[in-house]
Amino acid sequence: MNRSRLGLTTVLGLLLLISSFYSLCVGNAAIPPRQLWEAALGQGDPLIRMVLWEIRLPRLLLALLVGGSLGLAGATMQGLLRNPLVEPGLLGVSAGAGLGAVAAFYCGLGGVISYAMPLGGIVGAFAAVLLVCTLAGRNGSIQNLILAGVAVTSVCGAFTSLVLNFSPNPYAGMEIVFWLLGSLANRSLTHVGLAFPLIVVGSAMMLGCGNALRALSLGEDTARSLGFRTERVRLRVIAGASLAVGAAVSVTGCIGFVGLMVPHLLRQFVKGDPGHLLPVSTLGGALLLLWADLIVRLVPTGQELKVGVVTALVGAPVFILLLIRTRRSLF
Amino acid sequence: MLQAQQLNVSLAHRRIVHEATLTLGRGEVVGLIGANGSGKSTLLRALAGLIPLESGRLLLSGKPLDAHTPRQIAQTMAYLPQAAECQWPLTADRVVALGRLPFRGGSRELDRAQISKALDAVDALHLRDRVVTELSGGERARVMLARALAGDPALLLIDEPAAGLDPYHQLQLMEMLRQLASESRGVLVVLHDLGMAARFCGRVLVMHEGEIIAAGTPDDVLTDSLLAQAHGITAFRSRCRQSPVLVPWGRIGTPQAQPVPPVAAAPR
Repeated sequence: MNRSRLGLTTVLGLLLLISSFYSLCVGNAAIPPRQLWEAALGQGDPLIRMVLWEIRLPRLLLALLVGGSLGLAGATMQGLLRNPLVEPGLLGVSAGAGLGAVAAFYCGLGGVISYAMPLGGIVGAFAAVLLVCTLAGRNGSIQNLILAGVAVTSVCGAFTSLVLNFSPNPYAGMEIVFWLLGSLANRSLTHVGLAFPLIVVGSAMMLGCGNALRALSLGEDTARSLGFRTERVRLRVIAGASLAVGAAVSVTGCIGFVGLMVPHLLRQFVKGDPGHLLPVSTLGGALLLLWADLIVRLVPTGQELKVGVVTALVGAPVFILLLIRTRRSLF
Repeated sequence: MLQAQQLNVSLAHRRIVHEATLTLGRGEVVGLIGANGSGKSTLLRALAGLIPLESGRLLLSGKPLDAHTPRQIAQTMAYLPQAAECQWPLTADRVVALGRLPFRGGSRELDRAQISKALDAVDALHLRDRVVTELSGGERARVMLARALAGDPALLLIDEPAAGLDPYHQLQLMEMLRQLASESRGVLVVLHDLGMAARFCGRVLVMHEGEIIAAGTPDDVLTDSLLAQAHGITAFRSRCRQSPVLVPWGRIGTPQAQPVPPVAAAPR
């Protein structure tokens, strides 16, 4: 690992550690570090123990897991599709997860199984990606894949709107809209446990694709002539991104722009290398979502500010800057 | 080393290469020429194992190509596509380092030495820290060629490497291909410059409408009738220091296509 990349990884890692610790300490009631330590060991005030284990720790872990997987999936998908404007939801994963969760809620499964929405989200994410892959064809071009992704995303969006349109009462509609905005609030360690294995497996699949993505910088033919089975790489990336992003969206709702913004911001620090971008984007994504969640928790608002709204508020201007830069030159 | 027997290749249900038979051995530069759309690039991709064959046999070192793993093939044979581009703003030495991917896990020292050697061979050592997307077309073409050389391959399949190069670097490229062949490598190169093909290639294959219609030394193959058939042109011919000189002269059916009288050998 060269010096600048080691420096970047160290800085991101340290920032993550400090921010994570800070995130456990601050909130409606500040917890001093000593009491936090005691609560972590299962000692001290039972109320603080409860706040730590049931509120702040799940929220922190979800921010790290979801942010990390969105950053990683963004970097991997951009590498696979060789396009800096790609975000992980492009292949319909987010829209499918949203529709699945909303459908589960609408069908009243929420009352029967407490984790119906996340489970519905995971099923929806996989169904959407399967549909995209079927539409694009086994050896379909990248362009076909993107078009199929856009089509399936639109279909899922339309059906989500339909469900909202026919929601039984305004409160149910509001519930769905709030869920779709994306939030890390009111999640428990069970949510973390539901998403964790899928995110870990998906991320491991994506992190192992660094060399193949490097080779793909020169196009599919060159990558194949360098000994990579590009169809397998594509399958692996799509499966990995679907697992990680599907699981992430299912427990937190749609959180946009992290997957688009983080790889773009960090690319210059790894000299454009799509392989080196993967681990740093994971750290960067986790850090960005953690900071966005800290903003949500620390900025006093009448009603809870959703973290997906914060990432979109920061992300949209960055996206516009990205477009302007791309228009000026290739980069 | 590489043997193709009666290869048929179709793309989108259209036959592009028809019954192509050829060999590429160590120590020779073979030129693949033909008009646009005659199937040269598709044949090259098929030989590199990048597109499936409809029928025919393709042998590398005596074994069917699909009996080798993709990595084994990549360690033996390098392929450079036409107008290769890099999607990300990588520096030239990182692009060349991609040519070492088939040898990943090996010696880093050797990797570094081969990257420098490849950059030096194409006169691009001074470009190594430049971002490849910011290079001129010719400079980028040389860096891409260095990428193909970085794996020190026994066989090189190159698609129109001279396009975009200035005359100095075109000559340097062709001399380098001959040098590579003299180091016991086999080079198959798609060329549009018939003069370069006549002068630098030991053998020439001519493609026309998907078929290899002639194969042999440039003197034997690049005849008036063949140029008329494959390219629809006439040519001015001469010799200089024992090498054939061939300059495309006129299109068949136009006044400029009048047969060009041969001239006496140029004085030495």
